[in-house]
Amino acid sequence: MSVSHSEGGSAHRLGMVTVEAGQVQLCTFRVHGRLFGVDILDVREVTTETRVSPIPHAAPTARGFVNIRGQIHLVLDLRRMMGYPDFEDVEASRLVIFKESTGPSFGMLVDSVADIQVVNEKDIVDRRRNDAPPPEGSERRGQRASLVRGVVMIDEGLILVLRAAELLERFEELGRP
Amino acid sequence: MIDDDALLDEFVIESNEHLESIEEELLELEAQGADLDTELVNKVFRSVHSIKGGAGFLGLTAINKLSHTMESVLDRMRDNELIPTKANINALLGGADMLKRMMAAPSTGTDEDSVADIIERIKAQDGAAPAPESPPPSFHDHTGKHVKVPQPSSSEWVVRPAEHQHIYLLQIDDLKEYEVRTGRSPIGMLEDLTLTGTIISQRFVADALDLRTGVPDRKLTLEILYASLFAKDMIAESVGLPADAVTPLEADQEEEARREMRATPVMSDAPPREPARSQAALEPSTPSPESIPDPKPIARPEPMPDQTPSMSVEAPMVMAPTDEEIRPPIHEAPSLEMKASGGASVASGADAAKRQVVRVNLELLDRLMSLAGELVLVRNRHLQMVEGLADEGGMTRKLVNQLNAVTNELQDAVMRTRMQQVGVAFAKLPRMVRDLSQKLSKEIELVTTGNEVELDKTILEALADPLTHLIRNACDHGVETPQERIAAGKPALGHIEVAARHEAGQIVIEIHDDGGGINPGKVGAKAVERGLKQPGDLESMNERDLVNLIMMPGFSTAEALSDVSGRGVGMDVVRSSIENLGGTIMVESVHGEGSVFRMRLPLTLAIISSLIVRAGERRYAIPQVNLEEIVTVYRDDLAGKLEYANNQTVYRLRDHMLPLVFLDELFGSDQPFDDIYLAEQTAKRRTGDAPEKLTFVVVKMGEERFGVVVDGVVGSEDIVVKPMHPALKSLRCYAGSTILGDGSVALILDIVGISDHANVDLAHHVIDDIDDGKGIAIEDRTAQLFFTLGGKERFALPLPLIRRIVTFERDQLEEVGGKPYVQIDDMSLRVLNIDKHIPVSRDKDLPRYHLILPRHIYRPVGFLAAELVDVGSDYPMPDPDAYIDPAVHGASIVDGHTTLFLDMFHLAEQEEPSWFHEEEKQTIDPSEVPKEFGQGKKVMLAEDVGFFRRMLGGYLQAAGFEVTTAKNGREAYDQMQRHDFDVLVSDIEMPEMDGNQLIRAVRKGQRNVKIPSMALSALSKESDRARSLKAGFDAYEIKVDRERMYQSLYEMLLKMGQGVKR
Repeated sequence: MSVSHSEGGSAHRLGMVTVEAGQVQLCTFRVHGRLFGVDILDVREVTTETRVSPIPHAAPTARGFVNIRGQIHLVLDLRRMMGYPDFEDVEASRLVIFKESTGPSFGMLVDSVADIQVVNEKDIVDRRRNDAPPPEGSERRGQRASLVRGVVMIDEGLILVLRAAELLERFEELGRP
Repeated sequence: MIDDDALLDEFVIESNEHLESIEEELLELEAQGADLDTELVNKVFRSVHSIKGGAGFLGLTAINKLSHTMESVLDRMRDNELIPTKANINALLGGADMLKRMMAAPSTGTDEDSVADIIERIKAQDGAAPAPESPPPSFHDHTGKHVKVPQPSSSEWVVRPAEHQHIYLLQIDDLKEYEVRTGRSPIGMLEDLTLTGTIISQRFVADALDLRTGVPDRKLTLEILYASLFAKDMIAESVGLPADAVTPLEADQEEEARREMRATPVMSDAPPREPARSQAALEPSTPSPESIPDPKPIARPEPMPDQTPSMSVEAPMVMAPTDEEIRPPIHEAPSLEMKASGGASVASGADAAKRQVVRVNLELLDRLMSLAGELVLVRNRHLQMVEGLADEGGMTRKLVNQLNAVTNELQDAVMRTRMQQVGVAFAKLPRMVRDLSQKLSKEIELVTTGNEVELDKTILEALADPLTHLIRNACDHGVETPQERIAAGKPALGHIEVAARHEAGQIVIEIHDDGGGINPGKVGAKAVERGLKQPGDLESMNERDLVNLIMMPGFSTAEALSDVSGRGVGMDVVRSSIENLGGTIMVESVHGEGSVFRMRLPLTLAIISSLIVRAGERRYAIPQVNLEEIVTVYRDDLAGKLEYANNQTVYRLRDHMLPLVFLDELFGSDQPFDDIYLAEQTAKRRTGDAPEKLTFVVVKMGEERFGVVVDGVVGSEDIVVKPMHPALKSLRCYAGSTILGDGSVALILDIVGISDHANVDLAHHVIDDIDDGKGIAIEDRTAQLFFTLGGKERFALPLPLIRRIVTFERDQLEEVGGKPYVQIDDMSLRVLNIDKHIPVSRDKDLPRYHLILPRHIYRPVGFLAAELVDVGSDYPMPDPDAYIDPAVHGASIVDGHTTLFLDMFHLAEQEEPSWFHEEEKQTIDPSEVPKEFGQGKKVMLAEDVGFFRRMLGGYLQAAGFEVTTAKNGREAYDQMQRHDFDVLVSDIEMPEMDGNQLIRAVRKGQRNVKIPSMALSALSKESDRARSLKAGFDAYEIKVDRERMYQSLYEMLLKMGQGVKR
């Protein structure tokens, strides 16, 4: 865990980590070997509860419902949303539950949870701005791209920073064949 | 006076809420003064108005009168005729306080006299009110010395002090000195005084009484009788007077008032200021050591602007001196005592109970409910764990059992927080019935029972409108006028009974009237008139079914719209609102004796009873309201019960053909249930092994039924309904989700949604068994020609199969070779006599006959008819078992006559077999065509006419084909691009894309390019045949000759090298 110390008055405290203005704390996790992150302010909790009840007729990117302390949450599958093969060991997956302020009762299935990283907001590079428009016929890639806020480089590698709220908005179209 | 305590409780709770806010709002008004916010006045006005209304309704005259008085003052404020001042706001507050006190015992504790006083006081604030009639107040000061009060010269400025104001005598000894000392004029002082209280009266005191002798040179004294909330010192300070210039007084009248108040229990519950002051008044001049106040605990006077009337409760304390000066007995200590002991002791049990009502946010209750549910799960896991434990002394089990009991009770209690007595909804009915019966000049008595039965608040609220509607209906249409009743031998007084009770976990509410009942015949006729039912439909309906037609959309029996119940909403609205609540409504009626409307409602919407079923590994909940029955059939009993129509699997359950939906199939694929998919699935089941056992749940939606085939029934469970996740609202098969006993999430099935998604064919309850090729169902209700042979039987022939009808004289008949013929348009036509084929009666001697010429039988034949009765498609489905004859599709009763639905082709074939089998040379003899040569082959049948589609489909199925149908070429083409077929049979004349266009498209398409294809057409010209063959068809046949079609198909398949069964 990287911790930055602040002496300035503008910093606010989040748990053990002090974050300065212009910085963002990312909850990072691995999916298909890649490092992803979401703003920790969007995350309510990470759980091992993966007893998911499937929902027939829903997009395959919606894995089902899970019961978190009496509240039913919709579980989205990041692998399927990103077009990766399914994870063999669903039991070992983790479920990132988002706050209600991010979207109504939903969570995201990930392979494993990694560290919390503090990065400078300006270091998160929105690739789309630099890239040429997506090549012909890559509608799906465009849809996926809108999930991604940008990428940021840390010592361990590249983090794809996701927009948590966008996951709920996009899962249906990403699940369409 | 009051019929229902529950209603009264409601009134009290609501009134107290109003009063709570009124206090604040009045203060706000006071602060605003002349610059007042009209909306705020309106709000207060409405609050008071609703208290007044409720009290009037409940017959609480004292409350009603008081609130009425307050209302009129507020009304004038609203109209800017009266500016809120301390005084009038005080009066209003006093009124509000009084109301609050009365709310403690609204029905018993208050008579009108007890509010007369406060009403007077408020009226005094109302400029329109008459001058007080009571004698001018006379006061005595604390020493008991009588103080002369100046007589008011005009009522306009005379104001009686509000209850909690203090009366002071202000003495300004020397006005000149005052002006010099303070720098303000006496006028300014008077203005100041009006800001903090009310000047009751004033006078000048001069040394010389008679000023005619000259103006006194010494001093001019002003005495003011002043009423104010504020303490003496503050008043003195505010106007710049020495403290001793202000003398508190006790009004003589208050002693009287106090005695009165003591006599009334309500008043004894009053805030302590009365007893306090009364106490003081009781012992005006007997200061005793214990009554001398201890100055320490006494509140410091608040700065004036912050002083609020609600604090006036403490006024006796505020009045206490803050300086050393020991004051004569204004007894704070006793007042505190009174407050403590008196206040507590007078609160009666009922009073305390009412105060314990708390309004709670529904969301919070829902959360509590979730948590209670969660606790149940924890308990369940505990129970499971304990099962496996060695439990010494049974201690653990005991604890778990306790946990179990507590949890159950908790869940029950939480659930009950949402419950309200149904009596609340019933309470307004008696009044309504009373008013209605007056309006309608009827005598009606209403009785309600089961008022204590509890229902979910949400349901109760939604029930109000249907209930009102039903009662209105019962008064208007049910109970007759007294004259009618007496004429019918009934007592003039009609009865309506509204009864609620528990029954099988549901609430049943019955509305029974002893009126004229509903005439089933009239209802039926009306339904037909409105086009809601076909005349034939009524035949099969019993009285009860008929009567229930009144709840069909678009039905109304009211001959003239009355202003009582003819409000443009019918019983259908009642029904749909009840059904929206997950309930049902039925009506039963005995003509002449009355009707019963029976509603069944769930106890709550939050928790529903449900059946948990299993499909594969997954479990689903089916709401109890949708459940009809559960059926399990073992393989041995399945034979003959399961039938496969075109693309529906149906089960013959008793008399009904029940369409089946297979849950594993429904949820096993995301594919839409179009005709193709359904046909595929049906075929799969048809050809596959019969299951060892078949379990299905018969579900209902309104009148419709279908079966949901499940892998197993897990059991019944009360589930907490959670709405579907907003992101998944588009999935129609689910009504919500829930958490099951083991903590897993299950989906709640939406029966209507499933029926839509699975394309359940609800219309075809009677589906003829087409597999045996015996006949076909006349499924589309093809228009039929009804005719007779002169006897009592009637016959029906499908209109689309009739080319024309000609009339001929009996002597036109010729006999050729023993067969009857008639010459029509230079053609000799064989006259087919139905009585030769079917044993029916016939009138032999008619001068004139009709001949029905068929359209698709290209033989010189006509069907003999004596009388043409009718043409129409309003008839009940013919029952194939009602008349067993190969030449008859079936029989049913049409307009009261037994009617045989004829098989035209079969009759023609019977009449002259040679027409059909000998005329044309076939390369293959009909006898060589194997019986089920189409076994294992998929045929695409394109035909736009439903009748033919069904008939040809039946023929093809009888030959072993697996049939998929399309309504036009476009549909057939689309399906053929998605699925493989072995053979195509197509009509030529079709909308959108005709047969020739279809085959051209198929030959150029992606799939089924080389499919053997046969055109089956009514076009018999050689040019038509050539055109179709050129378009790409492999064969061309004229419909509808079954044998020819078989032959031709078989031949074509052989030729094209398709392996067919021999």
